[in-house]
Amino acid sequence: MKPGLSDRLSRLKKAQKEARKEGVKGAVSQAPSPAGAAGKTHPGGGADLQQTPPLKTLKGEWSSPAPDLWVKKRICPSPLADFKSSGLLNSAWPDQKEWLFYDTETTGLSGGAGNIAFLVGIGRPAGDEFHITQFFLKDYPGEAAMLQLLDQEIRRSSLFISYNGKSFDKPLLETRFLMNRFHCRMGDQLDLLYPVRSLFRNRLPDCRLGTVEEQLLAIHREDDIPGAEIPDIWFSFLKEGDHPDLNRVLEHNDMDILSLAVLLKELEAFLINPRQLASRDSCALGRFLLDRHDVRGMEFLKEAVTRSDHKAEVFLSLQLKRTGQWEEAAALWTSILQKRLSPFAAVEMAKYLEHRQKDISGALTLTEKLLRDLPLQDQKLHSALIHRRNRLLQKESRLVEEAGQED
Amino acid sequence: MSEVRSFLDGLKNNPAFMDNVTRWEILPSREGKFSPIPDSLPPVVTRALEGRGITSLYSHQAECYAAAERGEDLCVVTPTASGKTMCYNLPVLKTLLEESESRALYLFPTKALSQDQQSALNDIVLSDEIPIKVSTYDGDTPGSLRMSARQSGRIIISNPDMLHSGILPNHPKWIDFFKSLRYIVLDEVHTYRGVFGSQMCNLLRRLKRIAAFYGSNPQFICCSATIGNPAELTRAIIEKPVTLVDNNGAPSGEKHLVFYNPPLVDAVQGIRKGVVNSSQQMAVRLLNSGIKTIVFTRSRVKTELVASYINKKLQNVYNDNSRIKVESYRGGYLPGERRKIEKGLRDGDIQGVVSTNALELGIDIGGLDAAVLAGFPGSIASSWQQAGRAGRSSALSAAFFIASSSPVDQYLVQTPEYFFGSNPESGFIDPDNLFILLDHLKCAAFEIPFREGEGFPGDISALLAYLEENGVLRHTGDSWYWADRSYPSEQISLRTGAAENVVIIDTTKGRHNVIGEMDSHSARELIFDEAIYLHRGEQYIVKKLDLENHLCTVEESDVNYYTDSILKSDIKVLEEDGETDVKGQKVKHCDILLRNEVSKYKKIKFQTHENIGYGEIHLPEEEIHTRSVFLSLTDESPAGRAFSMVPDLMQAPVLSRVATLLRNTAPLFLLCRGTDIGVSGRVRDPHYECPGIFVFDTYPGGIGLADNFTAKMTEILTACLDLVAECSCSEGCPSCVGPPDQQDQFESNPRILTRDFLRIWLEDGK
Repeated sequence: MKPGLSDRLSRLKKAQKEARKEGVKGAVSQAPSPAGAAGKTHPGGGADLQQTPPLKTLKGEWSSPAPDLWVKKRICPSPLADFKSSGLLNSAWPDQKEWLFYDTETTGLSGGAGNIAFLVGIGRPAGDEFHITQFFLKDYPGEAAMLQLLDQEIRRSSLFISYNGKSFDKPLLETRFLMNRFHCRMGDQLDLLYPVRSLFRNRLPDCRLGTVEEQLLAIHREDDIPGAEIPDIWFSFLKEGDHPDLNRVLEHNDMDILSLAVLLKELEAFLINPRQLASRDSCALGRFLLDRHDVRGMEFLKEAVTRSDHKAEVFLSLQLKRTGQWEEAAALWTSILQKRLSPFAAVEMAKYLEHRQKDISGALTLTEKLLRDLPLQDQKLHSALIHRRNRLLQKESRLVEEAGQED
Repeated sequence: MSEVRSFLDGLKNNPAFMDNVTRWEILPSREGKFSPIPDSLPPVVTRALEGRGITSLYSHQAECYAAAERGEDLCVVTPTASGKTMCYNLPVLKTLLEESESRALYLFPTKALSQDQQSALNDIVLSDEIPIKVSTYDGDTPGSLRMSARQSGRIIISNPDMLHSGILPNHPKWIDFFKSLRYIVLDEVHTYRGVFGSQMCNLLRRLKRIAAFYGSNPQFICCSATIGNPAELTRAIIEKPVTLVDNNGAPSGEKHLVFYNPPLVDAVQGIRKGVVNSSQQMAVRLLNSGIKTIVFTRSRVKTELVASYINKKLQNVYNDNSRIKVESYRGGYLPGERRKIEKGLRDGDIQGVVSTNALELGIDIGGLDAAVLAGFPGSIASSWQQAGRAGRSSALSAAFFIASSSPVDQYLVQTPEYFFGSNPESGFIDPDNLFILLDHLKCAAFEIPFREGEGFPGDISALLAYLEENGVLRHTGDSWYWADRSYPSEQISLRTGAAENVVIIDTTKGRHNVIGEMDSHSARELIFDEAIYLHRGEQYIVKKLDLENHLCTVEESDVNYYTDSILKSDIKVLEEDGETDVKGQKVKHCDILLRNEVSKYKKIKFQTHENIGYGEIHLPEEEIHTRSVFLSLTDESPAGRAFSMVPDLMQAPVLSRVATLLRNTAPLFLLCRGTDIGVSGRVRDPHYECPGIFVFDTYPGGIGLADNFTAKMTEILTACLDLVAECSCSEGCPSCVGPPDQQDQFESNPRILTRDFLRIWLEDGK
């Protein structure tokens, strides 16, 4: 004996109504919203939807190639007209017409099958021109048509350039293609977030694209919409049929695409001639270059060392060690130790003395000094040092013994 | 002679002990029934089995294999130590070896269990040349291993929570897995009952829907402990016909089950020596005789109490406590702490453990020789599982049931036939509980938009329309789309009504250590401001419970009492929708609004357990819209006629006694926790305008306990009568009708009157 589903539902609504009434009467307690079922109410759920899209309220030239899908194309001068590659960001550059810059605006930030891209912007260099196309969903059912058009664009491209696309936009689009039973063919990815992060992390408060524009590209957006507000603008657009801030969302996405092209060009220019940027992070730059086997990295690490960048000292000395430049490495460790108590430099120096110079007592003296001077906080380092000291002591006594036997 | 044998002989020769034993049952060792290893099993598996000394199967394992081979969904009933993993591993390995793309999903009710199962599986799979990759995928799986688990794990071991919030919402990442999903193994399926079971059923609806999206239709193999309706419960959860395999062919060692009722301290009031004391004494005796022992207690608090008493008893600096180490184990510990204790038990570094039912399920803790059950664990299925914790090998083992003064315990210790008789307790679920269903519809819409006319599996169009009104779905074209920026499964917990656990933080002397967590429903009753909280034998006082931010700060304390809250509830009937007639007794079904309030707590002294004062609790009251039945006591019914013979002045006290009896016995028959069901007696209910008794679900929306009550009503009332008639007290005690109540305004406890009322009611209604 239990009521059916629709019966249960009508009771739930009735109970909620009553609870709301009681709430108005000033009862202290609130109706619970078990597991959040009844927590949210949205205003204007029943607003009349305009069947004809208000294309005129949007800026630019829009067309509607399929139901619930709007597309805008615009052409601007290409920031990549005289593009030169440093060869460091990407190994093989296809012809520019196979490049595709892309960025999505989504209904949520957390991923998952229910998160969709309601706006996809793409950019293509074409000689002196840069073509930006925006695919905007007027409603959910337009998605399949959008993906089909997008798929055609993807087939024409072989390099996909994005900002954080590797971990966000690309998997999201893959999910969307899959949910619509398409095969996604996105190939080589060039995600500019990664080089920006390794080169400028210490020079920027954060690595968001907006910050990069302001501080590195001197681009200042006016009236830009905060990313966190974007999903709700689209939801509200769906319900009301329009939203005053929709143009700002479209402009935000358009701007992101264009910035990507500018950023790519500027990054390459910087890597070709790093000295043009006074505020460079020489240590990060040196590592970046060395990781890509660019020998200019050494001079930037040295430059950072002269500015007493502690991290640079570590990397430079390791690089010297790796390339067998022992004397220079040892000189660097010595100079570090003269300035401060550096466990890293001391341990490296002790290793150098022991293994390269065969100076066991020198290594032992250094290890013992470090043990004496080092505060006891780092348990792991401390026990490693003790281990090293004991090993050195054994080695030394063995040497003494051997020497005695020879006598 | 084994330590256990001589220990048991010692007890038998101890008349003081035997006086309190109400039953000493010896389950003789049993020969196994064997079947040959099936020919169709791939030779690599046969060789791997032979490598472990297995040359034949238990009959039920072979039966499972054959049923699975026929493509049937099946439920196998597996007592502890009956080799249940082989029931599903063999058919799964066969399929996975023969169909190179196929996958299997193993679901265990808890994370701890799934981790344990992976090591068991690896024993078979890794020990040999079987090319099947087994991956655990749960909250503890490091990010670096997740991708390879998704892509190449042929057997994925997980739990419902991870499936709910991690796997299903991200199903496109699992495409390779879902499109070739062949088997779903549900272990410990009897734990999926009530609220959790209703959640589980909906979770599986989502899983099957996604599998269908990718074109697969997995087969189910489910394992259950011994309950009254394993096949029925399994069918309700997976919503498919089920083949039942319940002839256990495994051998077992001799097992002694001893029912012990602690001696009466005060015969007039029926006060017995406490279960905590009796149990820890038994445990200390066992441990001192070199017997590895597990003690099961009914609550987290008692776990801590018993463990600390035992350790105090064993304390001896000179011999390092005779090198006997005893740990406590319960939910609320951090995973690392639990793993360490499990390992200690397996490796033999720990000789004794005191646990809540957290260790009752199949976590491998190695062989223990004795189990002490400090109080009956709430269901007979649980009792057998706990008792089964001792003697996993074929050696002699013993289990001691120490009865508490609770009515269920007293009923069982005095009527042990019930325990050994046929098993009447059954599991129910109600997957169409509106709150649970709506939650899962949100998740399902997020996962794949609903097409118009699509079921779940029933007609859900009205519910989808309701969710659209609430702004989380959008109906457009011919589909319902998820239209909210949130990730719905994140806000929905499968475990209790409340989504987020309260984190307990020790702030003693400026510290800030997380020492445990608790669901917010329990938090209201256990860790209110000024409550005493016990954790691993340490005592803390609650400084502030912040339900809004899910935080509770505590500080160390050393007071000599613990705390116990008092719950008050009020009922308002919202809508009636039917009536059942049980032997002339009218039972009305209705929706009610339940208001719960915890406004006071008692302070109870350690050791003596006397009440030493009260305190106030300031928490907002909780309102729940739920299901109820109302037993009306009007003159045309047997109960009403019996009730009219009770003198006016005594009617209220008698009703409250009957309510106490019902509340205590009903969970035994409905296979639910004591807190899942509420009972309230009314001398005059304002809605029905007559005296009567409400029996209601305490979970929002109800999960069918109240509606199922009528089917079991006669049995439950008979148990109530047995309990009140056979209690050894003279005037009523906490073990039967409850202690004397100051609100009654007179001194004696109406035990006899309550008994007579029930007897007349039942005689009349025959």
